[in-house]
Amino acid sequence: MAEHKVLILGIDENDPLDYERAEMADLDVEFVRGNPQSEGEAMELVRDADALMMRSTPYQGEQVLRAAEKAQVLAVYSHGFNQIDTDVCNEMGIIITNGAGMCMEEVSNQAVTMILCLNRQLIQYNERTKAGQWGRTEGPPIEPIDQQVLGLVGLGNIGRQVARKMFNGWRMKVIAYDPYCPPWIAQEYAVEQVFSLHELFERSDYISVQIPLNKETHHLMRKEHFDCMKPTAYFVNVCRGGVVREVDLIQALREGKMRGAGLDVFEQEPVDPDNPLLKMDNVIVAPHSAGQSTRSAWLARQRASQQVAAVLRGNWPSAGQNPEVASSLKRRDRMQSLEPKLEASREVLPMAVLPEG
Amino acid sequence: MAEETLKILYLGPQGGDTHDASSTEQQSRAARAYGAEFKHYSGSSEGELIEALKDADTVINQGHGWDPALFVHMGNNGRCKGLVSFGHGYDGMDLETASVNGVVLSNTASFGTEEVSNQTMMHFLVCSRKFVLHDKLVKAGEWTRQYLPPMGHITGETFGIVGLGNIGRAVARKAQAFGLDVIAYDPYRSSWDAKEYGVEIVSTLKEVAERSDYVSPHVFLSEGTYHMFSDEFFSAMKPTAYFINCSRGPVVDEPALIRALQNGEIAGAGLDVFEQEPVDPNNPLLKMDNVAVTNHYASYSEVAWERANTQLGEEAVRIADGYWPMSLINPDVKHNSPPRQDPISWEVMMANR
Repeated sequence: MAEHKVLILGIDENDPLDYERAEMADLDVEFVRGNPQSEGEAMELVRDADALMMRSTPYQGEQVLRAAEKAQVLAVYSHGFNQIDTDVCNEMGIIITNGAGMCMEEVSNQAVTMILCLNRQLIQYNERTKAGQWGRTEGPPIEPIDQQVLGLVGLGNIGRQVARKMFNGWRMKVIAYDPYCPPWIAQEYAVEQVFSLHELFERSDYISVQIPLNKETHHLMRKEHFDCMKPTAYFVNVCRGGVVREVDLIQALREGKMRGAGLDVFEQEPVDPDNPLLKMDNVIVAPHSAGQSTRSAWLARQRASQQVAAVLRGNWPSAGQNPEVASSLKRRDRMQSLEPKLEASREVLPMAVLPEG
Repeated sequence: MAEETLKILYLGPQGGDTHDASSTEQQSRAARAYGAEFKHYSGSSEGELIEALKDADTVINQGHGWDPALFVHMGNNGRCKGLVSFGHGYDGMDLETASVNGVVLSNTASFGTEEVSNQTMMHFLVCSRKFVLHDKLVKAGEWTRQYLPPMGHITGETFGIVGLGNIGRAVARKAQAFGLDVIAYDPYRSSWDAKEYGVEIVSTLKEVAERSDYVSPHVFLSEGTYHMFSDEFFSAMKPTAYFINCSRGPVVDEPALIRALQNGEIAGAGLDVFEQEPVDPNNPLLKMDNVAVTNHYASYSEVAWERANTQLGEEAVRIADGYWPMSLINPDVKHNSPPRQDPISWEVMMANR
């Protein structure tokens, strides 16, 4: 019997698991692919697993987590892990890891795309031109973006990329609201930190949101914030729909509290075809595709596998998301140190040694 | 019952004037704004300090000695939950004893990032342009170009950084402005982070030595980095390359550096730090025309020190009021410490109050 059992939930039965195998080549691992059809079945599958890798499964609720008595790590392949109950994981001594960095270029590019499309009215002009209307003066004025203010909600991996691109590339003034961001990081990215969300909404010509969805951020942005926007400003959301109270956004757009919006995400996904946001001329949308690229598809698997490998080797993973788990780890005698280990250098080895997906 | 006032204990330089409140205006700023008490420690014995710690929530250490045995009276065994120290390096700190006792440690991370990276760039330019030698020659009445070659073009040359932390990244950004290709060795830094800064991560220290025209460490001093730059490293460097050090002297095996310079294995050096400080006036490094030296002041500017002083107070209040500090230097303490809130911006803490 192998030393570690790694369970991958919601994956094709015939998937060769190239990335998972490559990253854990030095470990004695048995891989199990699971596609449970019920919560009960999922509970049976997780019971003796040392690591859970959540590819795509609806069965990842509290009961399933509580059944994972042996699990040391739960890896999600995405950035967001809002579907996972962190309190239960903390209690169970399960380290949650995400795919930090796996799609920060992609998501920040999507935000920049949306900002530019809104500024240039590209989607609207595209539609009109294709419909045979040759009118350059219709629609709202196009402002000089280099004289405008970009307001970022969240200055993490992705927010910093948006800041860098819009500051270095477009010479925008960038301000950010992120109470968890150390001031020296904001300074490094030439970002002015503001300390109230209202101030950010008041001062920005474009607002771009890149924060995780959790209890604290659910409906973080709502009527009171949209009410203080400039009527000429745009709102862009490329993170999670639930951070915005969507009915308030719809109302604000209807009432002209802002000039338009770019949305990659919605409170309910797939989005309801009758959602009023889809009928508005000043709203541009995408199907939660911000993270996608040919690279992020395989990078997500590589990152998730690296995180699991680190934990199975007894090290705190570089993308560990719940340091509060520490006291449970201690109780279960699971991990000696939360400091990064030299083994993390596994990540700096050339990517060429791994199969290209 | 009214909440008890938070208390911050301040340890200033021993023998210095620590009783004058005006001298700690910056350090006490956060405590005053937050309604916490800021007390100067005035005792002189360990026993007095232990007593003082019993009546404080956080202690600030600015140039005062610190005996790790004091941790036993803190954290889970006493009122005082944490220690905030002035500076970047924490090579003198016993992290393990602190962690075992549940004592939260913080420093004034990044206070001098601009200054240290500027000092590094200055040393790099002085080396590359052979400034020390020519300043000396011209002042001595010698007007010659015979000592100029070999002299690199800078643009298109390679700058090797060891340690891509706050300072290393600032150096990378500035070096890129000169058109330098920046490579870095930092096993704790992921390749996607480095890509964000336009830096190529290399997987061995030796590769930095072999490929770089300028090498600059930005690591802290620890067992793992002590004498990290030795004969082996310098002999792998190009004979036209320069070695800059604005981090800590003992990360370099100094006799090895001296040998490399004397044997022409490297072209020169720019040094802000030495293995022994103050530096011995007879140190051969001080006699070389291809070595530029400064007296360990890379992090200094009034703005930086004000920022560090202010940050000391803010971190102390965070720890006192149940937050983690923004610059936690002993994460292992999380094993032994009751839960705390994630650190948030000082301005938001004030607004939430």
